[in-house]
Amino acid sequence: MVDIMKHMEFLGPNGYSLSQGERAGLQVSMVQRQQEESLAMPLKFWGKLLADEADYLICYSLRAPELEEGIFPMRQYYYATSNDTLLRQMPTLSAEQKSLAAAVPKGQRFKGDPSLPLDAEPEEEEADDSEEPKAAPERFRELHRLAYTVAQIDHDVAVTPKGAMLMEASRRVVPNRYFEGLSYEAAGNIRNYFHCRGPETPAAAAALTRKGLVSDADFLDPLAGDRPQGVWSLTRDTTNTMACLRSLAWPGYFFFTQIGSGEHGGVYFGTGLPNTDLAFML
Amino acid sequence: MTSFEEARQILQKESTDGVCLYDHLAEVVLKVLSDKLLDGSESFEHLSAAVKEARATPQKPVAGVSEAAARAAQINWATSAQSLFAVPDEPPEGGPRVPDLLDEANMWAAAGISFGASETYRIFLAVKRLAETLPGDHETLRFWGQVKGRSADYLVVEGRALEEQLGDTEEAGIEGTVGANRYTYWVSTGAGAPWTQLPPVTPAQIVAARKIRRYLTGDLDAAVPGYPPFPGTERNFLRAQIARITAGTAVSPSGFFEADADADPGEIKAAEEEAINEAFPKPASDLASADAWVHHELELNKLGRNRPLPEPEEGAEPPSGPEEDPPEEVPPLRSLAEDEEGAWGFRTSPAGAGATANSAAVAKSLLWPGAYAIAAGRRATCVYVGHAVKHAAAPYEPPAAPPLRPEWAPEGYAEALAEATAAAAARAEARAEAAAAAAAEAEENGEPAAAPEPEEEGASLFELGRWMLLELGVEVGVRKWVECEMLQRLCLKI
Repeated sequence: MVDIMKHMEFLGPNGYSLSQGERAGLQVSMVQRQQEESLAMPLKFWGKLLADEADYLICYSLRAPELEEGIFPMRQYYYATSNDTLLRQMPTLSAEQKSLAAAVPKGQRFKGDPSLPLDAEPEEEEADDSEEPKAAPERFRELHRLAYTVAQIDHDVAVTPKGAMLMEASRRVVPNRYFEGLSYEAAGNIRNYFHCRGPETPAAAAALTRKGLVSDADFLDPLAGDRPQGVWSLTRDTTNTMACLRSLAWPGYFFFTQIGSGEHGGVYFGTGLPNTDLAFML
Repeated sequence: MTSFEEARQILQKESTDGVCLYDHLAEVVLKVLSDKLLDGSESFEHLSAAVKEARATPQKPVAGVSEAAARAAQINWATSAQSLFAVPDEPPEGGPRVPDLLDEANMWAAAGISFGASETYRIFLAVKRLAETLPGDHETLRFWGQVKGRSADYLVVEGRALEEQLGDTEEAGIEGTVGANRYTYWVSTGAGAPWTQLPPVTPAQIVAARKIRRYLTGDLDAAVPGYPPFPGTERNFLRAQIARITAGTAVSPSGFFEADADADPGEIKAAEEEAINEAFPKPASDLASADAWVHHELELNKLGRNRPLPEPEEGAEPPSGPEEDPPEEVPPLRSLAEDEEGAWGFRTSPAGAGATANSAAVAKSLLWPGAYAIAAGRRATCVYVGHAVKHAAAPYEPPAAPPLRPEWAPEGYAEALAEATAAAAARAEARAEAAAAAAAEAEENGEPAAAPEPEEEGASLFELGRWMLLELGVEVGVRKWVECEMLQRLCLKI
């Protein structure tokens, strides 16, 4: 969601940033991935998942959706760790892996080792010489939980300001190139922020089928509809030139939009654990 | 075949939004030419949308510049921040020492903490300005960190507490400068905003803060709702959380601090500079494990104190309180290896290919996410950036309301309670019977047993709510908000 070379100063109010080594390493990896895989859209930095022994650095690239995938841009995620900044593609999860990931206790922290197995040790099968050795079933590893969690966080909290997305005549949703940012007043109002995902509320979903030019405020789910109220904290930075949004449901998600400019972006610097106690904390 | 004039007439026909296509196209073409957009056909929709948007809000202010509210807020900030940059006519004398915050910021950056270069510089000026207004007895002002609130964040600065400011600690029921009130804290909502001194913390506040789980609002005078009730407002709660975080996460590699043998009771003091210079720098790999680090602040015991309760004087009444099991006194400078499993994570920074013996070593608290201790060369520092919420492996459950004391039970309470219990028991019995009957019936018919009726669940929850209200309404009486809060939570949980 952010350009690591351009936007790091905007993350100041959040207090978290990348170390020099991480930034330098990611710059190399991002250029490499970008060109080797000839990605259509530039790779963006998504966030840092703070784990016990090493941190995960996550990037993503948008791509145009296939016909059956709908009209919203799809995200391909890449991950690296703070010790090894080579970006690797995040795996696509099977239904079984998703249910395993959902079953991990919500308070269990990430270790920081992508290959760490999280499922029960598979039973050693008796050696059978007559048959060819079968490929062992793929273990459920922390990497899979990471992929699941990142997708979940993105679904729940990825934010876009009003006017930053646009429906093209080909009925595809794309970032608006001529987005000029929110005004001071508008930036201070939660009604001008939307979920950057396919609509889930009936009103927004209905707007998608309307003909003609549809404003993104109509076809995206508004943050103002999120419950409980207060799950988003909307503040201004000390200089009053920027609005900052923080999610309290996924503590660590931070979104900024510079007032009067198209500069905006969101990052996640958190432990990857959802806040299960929000109802008590507001 | 239509002529040019005829075509223009068609295009100039007014459409439903009051703008004819001709004008719209003309504006789009104008925008392509005026903005020198060479990929006009590719970005046609974007251009068209931008033109329409601009037409919908013609008086759209040049955002952030001409708006009155923005102007006022930004001038306000600029004025207060500008005062930080004013050079005094005479260099100020005295005041506590201010360590080089910019140097420390480089150490924080190794741990991934940064407020941005410009803001860090302004924070440095703000701490320096605070130091100039304080007596030198505060010794050193340390930037403690940033605590995030829902509508504003607090910058926190720590200095040695002054005995005369605490007053009679025994009378106030607080610990003095050898206990939990060893430090005084100042907070401000941003560099340039005024600093506010936080009040001393009481053991009761620390004990209560452990039981509740809340986000700060950003307003020091805000109430702290929750159960059990917190004694004080947000400034007390913030102070209690700072005390807990400091006691739990102020760590440094062994050797930076030493026990003060002369003081009674034993205190922890910074080691002599010569000793530090002799022992450090150590290779980062040696520091990346729990054995190498120690706590340089005392632990808070379960009574919310650093020190055991004072011995009662001869002949005096022993103080009331949980006497039977006094908490053990923890020796100072205990090793991180003695902490519970999974309390700390260690890094070197740079890591990976950049790792050298000179890398900074980082200890990060896993129980207080956001608390980092960094050691590099001959320096060590701690910083906290977060919501002041402790990690919890299990979802939070507010403590149950205490049982009603018989002497306070109102008339009819025992009967109502017995009735409710009997009703619940009867319902449970009926449910079991119904389930058995259904199972028997299903077995006869050869069908799997049906799940029990869900409506029973609702009825029993209603009963529970009524029962809780009865409990709370009687026990805490006037504290209406507790009732409301508890009921609301109950509903939310359901």
